[in-house]
Formats: sequence, C-alpha cells, structure tokens
Amino acid sequence: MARMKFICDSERCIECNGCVTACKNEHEVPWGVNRRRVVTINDGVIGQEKSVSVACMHCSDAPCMAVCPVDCFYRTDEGVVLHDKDICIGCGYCSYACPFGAPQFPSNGTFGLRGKMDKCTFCAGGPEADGSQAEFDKYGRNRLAEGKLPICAEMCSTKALLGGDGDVISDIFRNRVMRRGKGSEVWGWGTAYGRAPHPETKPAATAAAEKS
Amino acid sequence: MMRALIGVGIVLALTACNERDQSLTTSAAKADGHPWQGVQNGFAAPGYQGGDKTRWEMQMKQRAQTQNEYVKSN
Repeated sequence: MARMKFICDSERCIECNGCVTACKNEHEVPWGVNRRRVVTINDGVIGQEKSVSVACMHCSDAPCMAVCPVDCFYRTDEGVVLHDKDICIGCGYCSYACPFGAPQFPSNGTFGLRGKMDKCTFCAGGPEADGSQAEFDKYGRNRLAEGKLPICAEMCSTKALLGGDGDVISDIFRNRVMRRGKGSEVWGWGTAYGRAPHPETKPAATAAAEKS
Repeated sequence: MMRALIGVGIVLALTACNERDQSLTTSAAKADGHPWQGVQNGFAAPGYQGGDKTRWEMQMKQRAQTQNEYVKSN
C-alpha cells in the first residue's frame, strides 16, 4: 500500500464547493470550521480563473507534527496525519506552521475563543475505536475503515478532486492528462465527463430517422 | 563494589539531565487501530467486510477506480 493522497485537478474544478459541503455534512463539522475549502485565483478573469480544493495534504514531513509542543500528531501506516484531541492544547502552532491553512479552531471549545484543533482526517477518524460514537464525536466518520474513500473526492461532480492510494490516483490523473489534450480541448463537457469512445455514434432516434 | 554503586548512582542522578526525544517518530497520542480491521457500526461499504489487510487494500484500489471516468461505460 502506498500513501494516501489527494490530487486536485485545477482544470476541472468548477468551484461548486460540493467537496466542502459533503465534508461538513459527513463529519458534522461545527459552524466556523472548514476542513476543506476551495481557493480560486484570478477570480472573474475569463480563461485564467483556476480553482483548487484544499485541505490537509497529509504531508510526508508534516510541519504541524514538527512544531506541536505536546506531540499530539501521529502518522498512520497509510500516510495519513492524524491527531489526538485529548492531548491537543489548542495553542495554534500547527496553524502557523501549516502552509495550507489546514488546522482549524472552533470558537466554542474548552479554551474559550480557540478550541482544540480540528482538521481533515482523510476520513480516517482518530485514535478512538474505529467506527465508535466517541470517534465520530471527536473526529467524524471513519470511512477508510468502512472500505470507502474520502467523501469529498467521492462526491466531486467533475472528478477534479481525487483521493486514495497515491499510486492509483496518480495513474488516473496521468491517464486523464494524456488523453484530454490541451488548449481549448480541456474545456466543456468532454473535459468534465469524458469523450465518447465512438464520436460517430448518434442517438438512436437520429440514426433511425436517417435510415428511413 | 563501591565503584559500581557510585557508577549506578551517577547514572541515575544524570538521567533527569537527558533531553527528551523530539524526533517525529514519537507521539503522545493514543494508539490507533488499523483501518483494515473494519467497523461494527453498520456503515461498511456494501459487500465489504473488514478484518483482512489484503482485502482492504483491494477494496481501496477498486473504490479508487470509481473516480476514473475512463473505465466507465461511455
């Protein structure tokens, strides 16, 4: 098993925020906390607008782990960076260290205005019993243990966001990039949903009308 | 004998002077289970049963292919 990774295809992301909504719904993330968000650059500039869905990237050499004064982070065998909320003191060092702004802090926690850190878990829960209510309450659903992939990637309507085994999703992404061409070809229906393998194929009604 | 006792005493006395291991391999977090062990909450993917690492890895690979539109019907 390789490492679990996310890839977001900025050519496909349409800033629908479906991934953000799905994540919040699946894990019942509190108000004010966004484990995932969509960042858009050149907003409104025709042809130059690009969006990318960002969350914890589960870094191989995670800076949040390096700076945590209470060592509450750990990395699973699958390369997912998780943390123990029972140890977290909500200091916010991880927030300053993270280049992606992944660590989030609810404003209604034990520590007043800045509660214990919350972040994307790659839908892998936390250090409570897998699938337990305690795990859900603290970290959200453990979809990996349920044999599923992160909800944000599985719900992505254009499949811009891919999540899973790094080797597998990089193959999917590589194949897509090789086949979709470049320039104007990357826009439109074919980009989002793939082109028909037989472009000459016509709807049945049209073909019947031509025959008669 | 006396030297040995003094040696042990010095070692014990200086133990507190050691620096705590700060490498990234250490963590104070509780031990977490493996995802391939499965869940008992009834939300497992249809047809999937946990408990076997190889089966879980296969499930992850198959599930990832649902994100690949080039293997779909059209």
